Amino acid sequence: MRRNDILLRFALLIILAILIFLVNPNFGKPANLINILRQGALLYILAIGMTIVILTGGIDLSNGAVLALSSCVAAIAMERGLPIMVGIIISLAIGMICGFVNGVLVTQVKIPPFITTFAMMYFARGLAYIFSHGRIIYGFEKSFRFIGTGNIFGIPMPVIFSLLLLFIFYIVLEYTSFGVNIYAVGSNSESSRLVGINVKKVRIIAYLLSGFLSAFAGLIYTARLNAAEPVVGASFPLDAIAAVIIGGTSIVGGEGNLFGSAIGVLICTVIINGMNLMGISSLWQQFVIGSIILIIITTQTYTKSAKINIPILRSRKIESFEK
Amino acid sequence: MNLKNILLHSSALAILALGMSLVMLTNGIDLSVGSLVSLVSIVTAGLLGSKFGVLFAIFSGILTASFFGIFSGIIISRIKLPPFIVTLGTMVITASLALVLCGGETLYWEKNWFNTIALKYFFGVPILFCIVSIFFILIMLLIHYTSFGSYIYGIGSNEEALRLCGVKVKLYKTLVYLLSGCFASVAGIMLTSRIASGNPIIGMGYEFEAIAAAAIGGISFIGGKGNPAFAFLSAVTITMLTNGLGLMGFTTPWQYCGIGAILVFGMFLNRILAKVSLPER
Amino acid sequence: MTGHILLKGENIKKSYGHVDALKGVDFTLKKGEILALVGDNAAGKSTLVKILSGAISLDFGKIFIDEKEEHISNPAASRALGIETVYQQFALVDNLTVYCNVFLGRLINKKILGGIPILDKRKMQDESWKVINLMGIKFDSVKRKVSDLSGGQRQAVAIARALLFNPRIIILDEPTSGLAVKEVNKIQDIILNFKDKGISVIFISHRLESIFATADRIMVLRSGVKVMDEENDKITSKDVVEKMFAIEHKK
Ligand SMILES: Nc1ncnc2c1ncn2[C@@H]1O[C@H](COP(=O)(O)OP(=O)(O)OP(=O)(O)O)[C@@H](O)[C@H]1O
Ligand SMILES: [Mg+2]
Repeated sequence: MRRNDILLRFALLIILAILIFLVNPNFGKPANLINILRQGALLYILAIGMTIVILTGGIDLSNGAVLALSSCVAAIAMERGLPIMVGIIISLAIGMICGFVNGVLVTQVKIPPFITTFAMMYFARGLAYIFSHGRIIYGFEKSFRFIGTGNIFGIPMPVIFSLLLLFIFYIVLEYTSFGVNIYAVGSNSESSRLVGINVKKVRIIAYLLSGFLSAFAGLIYTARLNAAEPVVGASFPLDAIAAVIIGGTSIVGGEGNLFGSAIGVLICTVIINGMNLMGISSLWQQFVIGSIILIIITTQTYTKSAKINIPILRSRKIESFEK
Repeated sequence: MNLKNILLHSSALAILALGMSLVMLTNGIDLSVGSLVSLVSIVTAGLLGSKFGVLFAIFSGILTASFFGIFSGIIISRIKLPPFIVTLGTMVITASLALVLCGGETLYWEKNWFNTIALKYFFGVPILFCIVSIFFILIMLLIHYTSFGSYIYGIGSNEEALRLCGVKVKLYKTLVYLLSGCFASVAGIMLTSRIASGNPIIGMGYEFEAIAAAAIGGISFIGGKGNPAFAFLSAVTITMLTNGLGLMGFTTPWQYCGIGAILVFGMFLNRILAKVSLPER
Repeated sequence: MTGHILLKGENIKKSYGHVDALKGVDFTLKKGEILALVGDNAAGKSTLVKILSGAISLDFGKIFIDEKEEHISNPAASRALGIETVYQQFALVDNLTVYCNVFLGRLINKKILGGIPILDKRKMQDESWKVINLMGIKFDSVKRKVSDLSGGQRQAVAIARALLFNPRIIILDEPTSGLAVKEVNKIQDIILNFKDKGISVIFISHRLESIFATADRIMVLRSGVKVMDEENDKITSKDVVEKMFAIEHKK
C-alpha cells in the first residue's frame, strides 16, 4: 500500500472527527476519546487477524462464532472453579484449533476460504450453544475482569492490548520472513510456491492467528461485560471486513497493512460514536459505513489513475539506493 | 416435512443461488442479495398497506432491487472496483435502508390475496416453486442459447479477450448484477408473502447461503466454470438436509453444527465428483 | 572444453490425465555447457523444466546429479541441489520490492535481543544491488516494487535471483520472450557469461538465432519425445526446424 492511500484515510478520519466536533463539542472530551479507543479496541484485535488472513488471499467469516465458542468454554471452565490462567489458555487453544481447522480445510482439502469459514461459523456457533446450554454465564473474579475493565495510567486495558498487538504484528509483517511470505503468498501464490515457500504452512498459520486473536478478543469481551453468551459476535466478521477494507487492504490479498486497518477501525468507531452523540438513529449507522466504503475505494482508484500531483499525497519517492 | 414443504422452503434460496451463480460465473460476487431481500420485503409490505394495490407493491419491490443491482453493476464495470467491496457496500447500505424505512419494526397490511398465494399449490407443486422453476428454465435457455449466456462464461474466463473482440463487457456485467438484484426481489416478495409481513432482517445471511449453494453446485470462485443448474439443485438439497436435521429431532445448536458439516461435506463431495481438485504438484 | 556429466535424466515420463507430456526422455548436461531445449508448442519443454525445478513431480524415470540419484520433490529441494530456475511467467511477486523478490524463499535474518529473527534488509539490499549491477542492466534502486519495472528489468531481477546463490545449473524457460531486441542481446550475453563462470545452463527458446548464438548443444522435443540431440556446430537451423515439425525428407 502506498503512503498516499494511508494519508487519504487519515485525512478522512480527521475531517470526520472535526465535523463531528463542530456539531457536538462533547465529542472532543478526553473521556469520549478514550471511550472511542476502548470501543474500537475489540474490533481492532479481530481486524488484525482479518487483515492477515485477507493478505494471504483468504477471508475469515468465523471470527465472531469462534469468539463466542472460546469465551463460553473458558467461562464455563472458570465457573467450575478452574484457575483463571487455565480458562485463558483453554480459550486461546480453542481459538487456535478452530483457526487450524480452517487452515487445513482451505489448504489440504482445497475448500474455498469463503465456504470453509462460513461452515466453521455455523459449527462453532452450534458448539457454543451446546456447551453453554444457551444460557449466559456471568460473574467472574476481579482479577480476570481487569483485562476488560482495568486501566493503567488512565488507559483502558483493551486499548493497551490492542496497541501491543499492533506493535507485535506490525513487526511480524514488516520485519520477519513470515511477514514477507504472507505478502508473497497473497499476491502470487504460484510464484511463491516455485521459490520454495511453504504456501500451505503460511496460509494455515494465518488462519490460526486469526482464530487466536478471535479468542483473545473473546476474553477481553467477556471480562468487560462480566458475562459470556453464545449469541455474541454475529456481526463481527462483516464489521472487521468493512474496517479492513476501509483501511485499504486489497480484498484479493498481497497488499495492505495494519496501520490502515487501525485507521479503518477508528473511522468506523468515530462514525458510530458521533452519530450516537448527535442523536441520529443507530439504524443509519450501516448506511454511513457502506457509503464510506464506496466513497473511499472510489477516491483511491481515481487518485491512483489520475496521478494527482499534490506533493504530500504523492507516492513515496523511492530514494536512490546508495552503495 | 414432505416434498411439497421442502420445495416451498427452498424456493427463495434456489432463486438466489441461480442469480448468484450467474454473478460468480463472471468472476464476481454479490454480497448484497440478502439485504436486498430484506429491503424488498419492507418496500413491498409498506406499499401493500397503501391504496395503490398489490401489483404496484410488487412492481416497486422489483424496481428497488433492480436499482441497486444496476448501481453495483455500474460501479463494478465502470469504475472497476472489486465486486466483493462494491456489493459489501451495497449490502450494508440496503440493510440499513430496510431498517430505516420501517423504523426497525415488522410491517403488516390488511389481508388480501397476496397473503395466501404463497401457500397455494399448482398440481401439487407450491406456486412459489413454480415461479422459481420458470426462472430456472429461462436462465437455462439464456446460458445455452443466447450470446449473452456465452459472454457470461467468457467474461469469467477471459474478460480482456472478450473486450478486445468488441463485446460490450461493461454492459453485460451490469446486466448480470441487475439480474441478481431482480432475483433477490423475487425471493424477497415470495418470503414476504409466505410470512405475511414485512421483515427488515428476513434476508440476513441469505447471501452467504446462496454463495455456498452455488459453490457446492460447482460454480468456480474465479469464474468461467460451472452450471447454474447444479447450483439450483444444491440449493434445494441443502434446504432439504438442513430442514431434515430439525425433523430428525436435532435441536437448533446441533442443527448449526450439522449445517457446518453439510457445507464442508458438500464441498468435499463436489471436489471428488467434478475432479476439480487439481493436484498442486 | 566442457567437463564431466553434471546432470542426467533417464526415461522421464509425465502425464497430465490423458495427455502424455513426456514419453520417456533421456538427456545429459555437462558442466559448463549450454543446452538449448527446442520444440513446438506443447512439446513438453516446460514440463521437463518443471520436473527439474521441483514444481511438479515425475511419474517415472530417474534423475542423477554427479552420478548420484536425486529425488526432487519440491522447489526447495531443487534449489538445495544447486539448480535455479527462471520461469516463463511465474517469476516475480509484483507487490514485493526488488530485493525481497531476489531473496524470496531464502530471506536473510539476523538475530536481535538474543535470538529473535528479524529480516536483515540492509544486507539483502546490498547483495541484490551487487548482483543486479553485475548484469549491467540499468537500475535505480532495489527498494522499488517489482510492479513498477520494465520487462527487461523484471527478467534481470528473476535472473539475479537465480545467480545469487552460486548455482551449478541455471534453467531459463523462454527468458527472451516478449523482450525488445536490445534486451534479448543482453540476456544472451548474460547466458554466455554463466558459461564463463562454469555454470551449466538449460534454456528454452523459440528464437533460433538466439539458440545458435549461444548454445553448445541443441535438443529437440516433439510431442514428449526426444527427436534430436546434437552439437551446435554439426547442424543447421534447417535441421532443427525439420525435426521440430517432423518434415519428411523427399529425396
Ligand atoms: N497443468 C497441466 N495440466 C494438464 N495438461 C498440461 C499441464 N501442463 C501442461 N500440460 C500439457 O502437457 C503438454 C506439454 O506442455 P508443456 O507446457 O510442457 O509444453 P511446452 O513445450 O512448454 O510448450 P510452449 O512452447 O507452448 O511453452 C501440453 O499438451 C499441455 O497441454
Ligand atoms: Mg512452455
